[in-house]
Amino acid sequence: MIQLTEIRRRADLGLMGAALFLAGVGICLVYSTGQGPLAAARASLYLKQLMWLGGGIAAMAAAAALPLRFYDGLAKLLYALSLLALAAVLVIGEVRYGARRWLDLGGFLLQPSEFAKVATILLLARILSDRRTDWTRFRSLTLPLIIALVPTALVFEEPDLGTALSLVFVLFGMLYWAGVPALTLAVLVLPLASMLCSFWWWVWLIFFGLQWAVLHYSGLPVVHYVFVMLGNGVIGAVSNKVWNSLEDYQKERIISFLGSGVDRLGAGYQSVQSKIAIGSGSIVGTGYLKGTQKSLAFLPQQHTDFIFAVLGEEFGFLGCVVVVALYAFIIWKGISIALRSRSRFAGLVCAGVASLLLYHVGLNILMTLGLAPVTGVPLPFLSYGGSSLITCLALVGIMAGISVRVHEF
Amino acid sequence: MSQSHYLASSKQSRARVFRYVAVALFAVIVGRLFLFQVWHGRAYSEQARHNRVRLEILPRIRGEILDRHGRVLAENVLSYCLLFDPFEKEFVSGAADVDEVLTSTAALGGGERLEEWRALIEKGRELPFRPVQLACNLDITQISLIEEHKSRLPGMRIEARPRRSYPHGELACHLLGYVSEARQEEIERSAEGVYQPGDMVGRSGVEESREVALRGRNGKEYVEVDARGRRVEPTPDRPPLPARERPWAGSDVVLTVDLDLQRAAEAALGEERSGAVVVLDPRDGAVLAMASRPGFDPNVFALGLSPGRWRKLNSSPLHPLMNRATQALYPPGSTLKLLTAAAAMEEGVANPATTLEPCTGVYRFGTRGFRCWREEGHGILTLLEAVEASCDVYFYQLGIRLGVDRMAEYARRFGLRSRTGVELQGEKSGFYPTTQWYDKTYGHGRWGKGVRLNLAIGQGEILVTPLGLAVFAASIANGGTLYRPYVVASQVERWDRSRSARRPGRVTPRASPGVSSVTLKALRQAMEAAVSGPLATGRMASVPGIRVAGKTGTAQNPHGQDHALFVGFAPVEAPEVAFAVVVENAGHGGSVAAPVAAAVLRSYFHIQPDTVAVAQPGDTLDTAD
Repeated sequence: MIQLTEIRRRADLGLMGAALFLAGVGICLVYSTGQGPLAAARASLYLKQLMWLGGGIAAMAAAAALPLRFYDGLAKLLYALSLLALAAVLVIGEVRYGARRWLDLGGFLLQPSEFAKVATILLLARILSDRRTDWTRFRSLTLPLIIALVPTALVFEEPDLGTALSLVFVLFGMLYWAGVPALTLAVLVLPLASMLCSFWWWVWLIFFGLQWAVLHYSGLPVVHYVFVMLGNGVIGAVSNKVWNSLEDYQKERIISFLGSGVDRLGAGYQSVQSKIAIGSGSIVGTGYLKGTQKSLAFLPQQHTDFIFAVLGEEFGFLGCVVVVALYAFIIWKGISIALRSRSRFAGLVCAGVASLLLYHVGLNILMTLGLAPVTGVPLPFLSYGGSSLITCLALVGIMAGISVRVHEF
Repeated sequence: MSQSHYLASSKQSRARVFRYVAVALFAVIVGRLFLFQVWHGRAYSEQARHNRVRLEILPRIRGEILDRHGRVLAENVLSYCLLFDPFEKEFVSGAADVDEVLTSTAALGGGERLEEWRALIEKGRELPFRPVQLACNLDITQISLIEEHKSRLPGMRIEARPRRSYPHGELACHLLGYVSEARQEEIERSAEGVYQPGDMVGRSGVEESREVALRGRNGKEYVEVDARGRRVEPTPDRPPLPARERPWAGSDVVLTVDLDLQRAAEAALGEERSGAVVVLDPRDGAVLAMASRPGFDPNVFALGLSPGRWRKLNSSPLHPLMNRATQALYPPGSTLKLLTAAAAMEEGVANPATTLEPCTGVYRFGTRGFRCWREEGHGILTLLEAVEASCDVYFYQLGIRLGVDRMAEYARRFGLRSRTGVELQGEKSGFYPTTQWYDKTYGHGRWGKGVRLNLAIGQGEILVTPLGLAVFAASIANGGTLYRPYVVASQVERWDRSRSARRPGRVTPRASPGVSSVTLKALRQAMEAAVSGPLATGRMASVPGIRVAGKTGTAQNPHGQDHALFVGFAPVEAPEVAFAVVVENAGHGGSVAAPVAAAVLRSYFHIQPDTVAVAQPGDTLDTAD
């Protein structure tokens, strides 16, 4: 019999407890979405999720127990495997809702893009932990950019815009943690901003004004920032052409992201229903299993991407705040561990995991609240889906392991 | 970047930035939750308790298809549809049962479709914000029955929706095509504004090729309805619903086809026979008429075709769904003697006045005798006379002198070995064999030299579409331009319809056969003689007052009676129409296809039938070719 203190010496129990509590809430909510006369198809999904939770706990425990060196060595192999799996998805993947995201492994569906997140975080951490490189130099960013953008491109191709952007978000979080100056990161983001702004000429003008101000007062040589601004001008100008080559539904998603009110039929409806469901929960909610909106005219995604709406309806403001606080705790804790850890590699891993969770929690909840486009990113721990649950628990396990080994190099 | 080092930061300050970002994000989330759940919570829960939001699709109207003079060929009429919403409150609360309501509706009529309805609703569950369309084209009895029992049929309602209608029935059915309901995979694959369940999709002809312009775009509106399905005006304390998007009507498509000419062509082909007539404007390739028999009534598809009737249409041995003008391949018979003559003149093998060995009714080549259609023979003929009389023996000799590949080369130049490029789906490519093809098919040297004799008179493996033949005739008529035939003159936006000036049609010269004007002139001369000369085989195509040029053809058909063909153009001095006529299993081109062409020309030139010179009983008319 292993003593609790023994476990505590090996991993951070608070962190793992918070994650497991959220996963438990998730299973309760998945069970709730399976109740009612119109939800027969979802009735037994909670059992599957329970099974995956078992797998997730095992993955978390193993991840917490393994020493840091192990991840350092494993990074390249994991990364290569996940690229292979992502490529396989594009060739032999299963198609659902018009996207090719899953591999059918004898009956259960695996989503390699979820595992690719772990691999990308580990390899980026390994590369960026090299102390001999001057990470303030622009040129040094080439390798990390390639490492992050290859899986991003593969995921984007599925298409899964939400997950593809999560890798970019993680890349930026880790680069910043590695000591890349904010200005450098800004220069990387400026072309994208220019692209988006170019659709309204007056926004574009304001953008160029701001860009000039930031670049000028940051002390960049004039030649440099004129070059950057010219480049952004060209990118903004050609983006209209690129826009026309996009799929209609991608356009509509991006448009709804920019808030001009055009969205997909289902997405618009989801957004409306999700807001009503959350709002109708009021302060304490309708009570567990008593939500009516979720069973009314909701969408198939109520147990996956829109599970937060079910939480909002049945547990109200108080329940939502508790869940949101737990997410905040996990992310806060991740940053603390990164700060405390003496190993640069460990710090970077924690920063990457914190960024990933921040992205997913933020985008998913904002989506259910009508503040972000319907992109189809799952809510970590809560959403139905094995790949996401196991990945998230494993990542928390890694952080929990690092937490008690902050003094290791 | 060297001067930006002061922006590089300590680990502590970077952690602080991370935390600021997280705090800001969670503050937004909690603030928004507070707004929804605490501030507006009462309003939202009122709304959730009593009402629901439903998505109303505002149906678009498909563009009309018009003939070149603006006469309607395809339009929309209102049809009453029965819609069912399985997510009505009664079903969710358990106060009513979906299947019970379905059964009692079926008892009012349409009982045989109960199983189909159940399947539709099962599929409809994937789109819970949309009612399922159970039936359309309801009559007044059905409507009043359902309205009468509405109180015990929750979820059922009747809505008027546009339905496609073809006022002329079978007329130009292959050219127009038809529409049918969007299939599940089309709905899933398409972007949101494109197809909704119940929307119609063009399946063939212009309905298919101009689908994008014709279909328009559905509008949508989120409406709040109370428990009885009545619309509730949103109150100011509730968050607003997304704005209404109005539907866009599809563009009207104006065809190059002339309704009267099309009708004349179909009438000339007759009810009983199979075949095709294509009439082109040789000056730009516009299709003036495109008839194919047998046809079908495209209205039955819009009304909803039962699987049994669909199978019957699709598997009929007469292939009524096939557009014979573009999708059927026929051996061209003697109409292709024009090609052989052109090749002979261009290659210097013969000139219009060249005489060869006299025709005795049979031509010896090796050990075989090749017959002329005229047993008694034609005697000595020039090239022009040989075309006029359609003498086989003369053309056997040209074939021997030209060889397979030189004839095939001219077939390629006249576009007879490719598609014409008309926008209609499923067009077949013509075929003309080459020595290479024979070697590949039968083995090197294992095919007889005699094939060239057969090819020279248009028999053998050659295959053409009626449209391909018409383009060939048009290129002779217009002095050597192969136009890509086109069927759409213009697309007109709905709101633009009053404008008299429409964009002119698109004219695309495809290629030039590269044949000298002297040769083409000689061909035109010979074709006129073939209709009105002393030896003419196509005399029945003649129309009083109009100089008609043409060439008959009788294609041997191994599966039955010969196919009758006729190609030509008129008037000779300034051609306005070029045409190809094919009548399946009907006998000789001169006696069957030529009169069809004459009827089409009479319609085009507005010549009354009573002034038509009927063949006199005393005339000795060669009815063969």
